Amino acid sequence: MSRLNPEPREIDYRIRPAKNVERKMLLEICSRMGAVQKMSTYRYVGMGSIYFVDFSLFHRAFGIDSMISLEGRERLMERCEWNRPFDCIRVRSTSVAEALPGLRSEVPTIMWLDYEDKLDAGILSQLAEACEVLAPRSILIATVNVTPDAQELRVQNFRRRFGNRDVAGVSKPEHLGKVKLRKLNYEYMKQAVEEAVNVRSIRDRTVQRQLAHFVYRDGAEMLTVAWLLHEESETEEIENCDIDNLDFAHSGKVPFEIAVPKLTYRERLELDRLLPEGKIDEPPGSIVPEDAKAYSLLYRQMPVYVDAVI
Amino acid sequence: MAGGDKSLVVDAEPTKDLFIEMLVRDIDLRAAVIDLVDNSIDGARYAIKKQRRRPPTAAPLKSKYLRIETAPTSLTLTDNCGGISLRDAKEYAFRFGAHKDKGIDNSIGQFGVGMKRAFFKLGSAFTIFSTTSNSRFTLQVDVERWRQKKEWEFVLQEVEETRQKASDVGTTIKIEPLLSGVAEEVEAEGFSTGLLDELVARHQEAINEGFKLSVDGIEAAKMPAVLLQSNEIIPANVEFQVNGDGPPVRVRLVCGIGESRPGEAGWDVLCNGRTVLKSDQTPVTGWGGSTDQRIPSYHNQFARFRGFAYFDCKDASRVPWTTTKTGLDHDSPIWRSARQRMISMMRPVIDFLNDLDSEHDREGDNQSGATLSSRVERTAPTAVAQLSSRDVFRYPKATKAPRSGRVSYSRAKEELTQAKLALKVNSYREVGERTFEYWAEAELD
Repeated sequence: MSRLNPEPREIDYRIRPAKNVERKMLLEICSRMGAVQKMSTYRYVGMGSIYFVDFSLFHRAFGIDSMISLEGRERLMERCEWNRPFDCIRVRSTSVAEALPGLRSEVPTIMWLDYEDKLDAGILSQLAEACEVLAPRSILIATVNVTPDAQELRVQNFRRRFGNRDVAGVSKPEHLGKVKLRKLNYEYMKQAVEEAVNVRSIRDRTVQRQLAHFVYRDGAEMLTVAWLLHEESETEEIENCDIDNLDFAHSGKVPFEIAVPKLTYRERLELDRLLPEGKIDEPPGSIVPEDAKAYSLLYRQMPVYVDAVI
Repeated sequence: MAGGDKSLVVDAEPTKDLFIEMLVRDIDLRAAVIDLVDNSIDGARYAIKKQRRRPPTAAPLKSKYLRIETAPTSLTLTDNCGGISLRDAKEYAFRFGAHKDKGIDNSIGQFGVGMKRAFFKLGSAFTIFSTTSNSRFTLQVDVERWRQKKEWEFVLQEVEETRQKASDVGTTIKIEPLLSGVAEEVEAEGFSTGLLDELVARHQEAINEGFKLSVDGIEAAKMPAVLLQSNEIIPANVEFQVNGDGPPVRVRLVCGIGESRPGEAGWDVLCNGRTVLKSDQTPVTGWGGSTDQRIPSYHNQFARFRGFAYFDCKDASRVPWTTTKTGLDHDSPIWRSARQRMISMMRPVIDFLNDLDSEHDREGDNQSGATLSSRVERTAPTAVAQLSSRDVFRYPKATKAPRSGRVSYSRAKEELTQAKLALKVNSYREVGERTFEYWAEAELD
């Protein structure tokens, strides 16, 4: 019996369409900061695993050359090192919790804490800590898995993850179903960030604003929230970056759902010819209007996959 | 209801009895003495600040002293800390209800209240001799007689407003006779040393700055806060200023490692030079919060942890202490904000101490390179005041744990021989390996 190396255990995100779209949307949101801060002067901190997809994207797009990948699995370290696509990427063998205090820096940072895991009190503390160590103009992005657990395990797992939080409100499996769970996760993350920044602002007048709120599914239900930290005195300059103007940059509790329609290459080409304006409510061929509408929201980011012989 | 001719005058003035009782109710004897000591130390700092022209030295208070003498019937405090000016005596120190506005910059005491409260708590009569550089007075009060008078004021005697000899400047307070309960406590075995310990705990900072504090001839020793330092183990040391309503609060946070002493591990919090929290190992300073998982609960493997948080402000009401200035005000926004930073600063120290601890657990494994404990040995104590600034505690990483481990156990020879045959191998070692692989294949992902 052949035994494939089971590591890394996460799915291969290079070929996950929604994740792919999310990365590009986040890239575009980040790029808006270019109006106040040269994008190449940012530092990028992420969890690149062995693929470094986000690192490649941010390096190619912005020329960021200070990049740190956090890798908590020591057994994977050598392989991660070997797979670094660019020399400017440093892989640190450390958990996120351990790494954060040492990542304190005056350099604005794009930090994407792209957790595979479900949210728990530990992750919330890490978000709070990130809000403590990041310089103003930094962007903090957090992604967590919000797939509901099996009915009979929901409440017990929730208690394991959050202790006695919301003891009265969360007591039945129905309280942790798909929609409620992601709302709850969003609220918890939002609170953790707001609280940490409020406390910090007493010292240095740092404030935060939410830049994005995505939900999507690539097998698992995922939730991503992004925030910008900035000095209160810079509020006007930040407004002028016009980030909210991007359709997918949701600054409130209503998420932008990244729903990737299943379309053939030819169908896409036909729709592309009608976009961005155009009448897509009566799409060509047998494309249903819902798919056409969904496509219109992410046609710029949606990847094309081809099997290439290289 | 009340018709004009049936009116009755109600005497709304508080009785002195009630006043005294209220004043001394929540304070114990030692706290009363501590109030008086606070006044002396405020005075010393103020006097030094006034005359400071040369650059500040490491021991700015070295010329100042306070001597406390106990006797079966009396308690005497003698200091050379500037004395009480006539103006302060008239307007604040011995006046009732007018102490709110008086503030000595960076002061610790509650000028006025503390003094009167201490007198009433301790004795049935007291005498004060006070000399400043240009005035002097004496105040003698028999509490019983004062209580019976209608008037509330105290009368200063032997008042002089002329230049005084520098060597005479200071205050002597003699409380005699002591109230009977107080006398009993003062006479009890160990009172002086207990009092000294308590004063030292609160005023170590002033003592380290050279202030000479003694109780019955025993002088408190300097114990400067130190942290261990080398070129690879370096404490974190940050300083920042919090603005807001009123003068800025200067915050200095320091943490790192010291000698392994469980009783001293934790955070010390000092407000305007006075210790309000000593070696704290509780969630108050970030340890093992129930909702916050950044820092584990205190455990003896962290016995080397040392942290110091200093808050200083000209306006004593802005530093995070309680209104009695004896404890920490947990709700102060400045405290909460500093605490968040403290938690961030202590995490690397905790990581290092965990590594150090797991190194002990792995003793016997062959390790290449210097062990963490040998690196700790190579540090030297450095005074906290002398540290250079550094955002994050620096520490060496443990040499990597071996990638493999050894499993060993014994089984009956008979069984092992059977297994060797079944597995077609020649050694017990191979039996172990093959049986483990068999299980791993069947059960692990």
